[in-house]
Amino acid sequence: MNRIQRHKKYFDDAQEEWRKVEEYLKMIFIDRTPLDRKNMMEFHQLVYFHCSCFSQDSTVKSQADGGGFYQAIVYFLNSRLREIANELDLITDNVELLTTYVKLWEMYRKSSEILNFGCHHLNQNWAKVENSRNKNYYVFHIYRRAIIQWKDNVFRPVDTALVNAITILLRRTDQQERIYLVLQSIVELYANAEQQTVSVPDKLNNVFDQSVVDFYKKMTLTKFQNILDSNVFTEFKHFLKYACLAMPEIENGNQFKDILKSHITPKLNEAVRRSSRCKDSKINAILAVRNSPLGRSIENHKELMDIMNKCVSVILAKYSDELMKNRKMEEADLKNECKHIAKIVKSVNEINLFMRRYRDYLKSRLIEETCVSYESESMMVSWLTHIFGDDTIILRVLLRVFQTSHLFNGQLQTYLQTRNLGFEFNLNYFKQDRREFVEKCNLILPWEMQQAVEELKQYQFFRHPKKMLQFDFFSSFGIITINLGQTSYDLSVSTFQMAILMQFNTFQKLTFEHLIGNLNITMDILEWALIPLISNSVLIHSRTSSKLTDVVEVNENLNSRKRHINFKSKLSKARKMQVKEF
Amino acid sequence: MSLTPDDCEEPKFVQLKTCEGFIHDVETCLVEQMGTVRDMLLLECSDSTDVIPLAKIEWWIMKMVIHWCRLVQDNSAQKEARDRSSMFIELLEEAKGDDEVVFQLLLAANYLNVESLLDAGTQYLADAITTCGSAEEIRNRFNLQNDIPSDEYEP
Repeated sequence: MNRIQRHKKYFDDAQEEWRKVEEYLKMIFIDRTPLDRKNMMEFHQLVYFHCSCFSQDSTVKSQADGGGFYQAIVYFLNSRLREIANELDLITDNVELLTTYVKLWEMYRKSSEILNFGCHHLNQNWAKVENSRNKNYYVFHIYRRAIIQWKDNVFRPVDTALVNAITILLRRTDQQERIYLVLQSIVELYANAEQQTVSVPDKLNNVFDQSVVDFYKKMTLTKFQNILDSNVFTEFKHFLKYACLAMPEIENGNQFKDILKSHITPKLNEAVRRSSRCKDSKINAILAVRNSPLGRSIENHKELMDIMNKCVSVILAKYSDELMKNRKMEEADLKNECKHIAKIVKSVNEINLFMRRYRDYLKSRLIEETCVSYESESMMVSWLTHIFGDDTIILRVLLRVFQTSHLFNGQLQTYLQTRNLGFEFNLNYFKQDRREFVEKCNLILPWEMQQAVEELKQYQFFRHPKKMLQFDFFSSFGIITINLGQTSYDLSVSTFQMAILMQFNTFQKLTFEHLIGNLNITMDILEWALIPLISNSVLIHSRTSSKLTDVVEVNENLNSRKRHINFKSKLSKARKMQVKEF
Repeated sequence: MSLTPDDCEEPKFVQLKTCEGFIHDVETCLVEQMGTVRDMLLLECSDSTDVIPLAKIEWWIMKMVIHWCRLVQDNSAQKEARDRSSMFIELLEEAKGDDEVVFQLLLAANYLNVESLLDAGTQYLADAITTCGSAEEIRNRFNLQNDIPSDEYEP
């Protein structure tokens, strides 16, 4: 065959291949025949063949195959879109216009997605080369080209009518869903436009009244919440892509991020709970949430993905806390889990947050003496230092402070033995701070507890005139013995609870108002401290018309099998019950 | 970087059917590396089965592609490109593969859109071409015939 014959054969073969492709295009766009996987892959293969190994002819430039194919698709789309435009042209009623437009748009969009999948090879190879090598910036991947053609052929002829219809029908509640769908389509058209000199929010503001723009934003927020509540994320990625372009505040503001966080946190907690029941790895359960359809939908939006990563980091710190309290865990297993956790924390890039949370949990464990041993904590910190290096500085500082506190407490105990206090008083955590003193809590301790404070102040270390003592009442706790009739109970309580209970050494009954006044605390703190005592029947609560006049008294008929009741762990539950109970 | 559970107790599988009709059960976490299959799964299809037909891929090539995806996952995405090249050479040596295997792997990687395999394979070929000094050496290396017609040949 000579060159001319080869050239002719190329075009004849190309037409024959195109006929096969056209059959699929008709199925996708006109007949709307649902394609099964076999058909989809055959279509994909046709395009692949056309773009990669169709032309063996050296007289034809390598980009010619793709170029001809691309033009043929655009031509087909234009002819289809002209039919759609003619259909819309005949409509005069606003409601019918919106209804028909939405219906035709959805069908066209879904068909374009299928076409885009089939033309994947064209997009990845031919279109990319046209952009990068041939500097042809008006060649886009097929989906975007399809949307641009819709804008030119269908939207433009009816844009004024659509905008008017939206403005007129905006107040009608039965049309709101439809109007929102039209607005979503318009946002997508703007986002995919050939010229990108004007941002999508600016385009919306230029075309529509403020009331329409506000409506769009309100509906987007509602839809965002609804999608999260429904747990169905098939369309979420697509929705989010264009919503973020139209509303930068989704990623830059706090409202959407707070909603996302409030959705993710319970999901992670539930996943961890379920993994305990099924004896699954908790880390795998956490990763499954991160890699779930929700995680994949937000992965292209850094600010939103950061929320997911922060939630993962926080729950990993909480899981580490559980591990460090587990006395049955072998050292080798603990080390493996530590490595696994560290790997994930590094990957999600939330090392600082993890360290801060881990430090808070570590501090609680050391103060409340719930850790397995100081040595195991020290070992874990040194493993983490080996992996994270200087990022663990806050943990190492904390351990040093505890070591110092331990030594100091030893000296304090020696001093207190000479003072005959009548009760034990230990300093678990003592930190010297050079910052300016800021009063954090004005709790007035009962006289029984004042003794300990006075002794501490007398202790030589604290006699320095410029030093101020501040107690962390929210972390401190103690054991108090209450005598009810013939029975004694030892209660592990917070300082606030201890202060409340000691009031009943002097008074039979007390109102909330009295308690608040005597102890100089807020209603919030009072309720928080009272809930575990009341729900476990140590105190009896009598309601009145006003909360301030509610009365509490000791339950003389307390009949608990346990002689030692621990209220410290019930404090976190108390927070949740606070609103319900009062 | 895609984080996947290290030891999936019950991994989800996707079935890929090669041109001979042989069905490979592939974990979803590996299928994520195959862009074509991954995108297919995101689309709504009329059939509910998970069998995806790959009419252009032979079973032994599919096996190698799956093996490659597993190697990449095990080594994690943070490895340097150089390590991917050595992984590719290891893959060829295990399969006792020659140039024909390389070409078939590249075609499969191109078809399935496995970027890492495409990058590693093309780099391997590029390195092989670079070692050749002339067009004649390239033809000898890859056993290619000189098919330029004499009337078009320009020395």
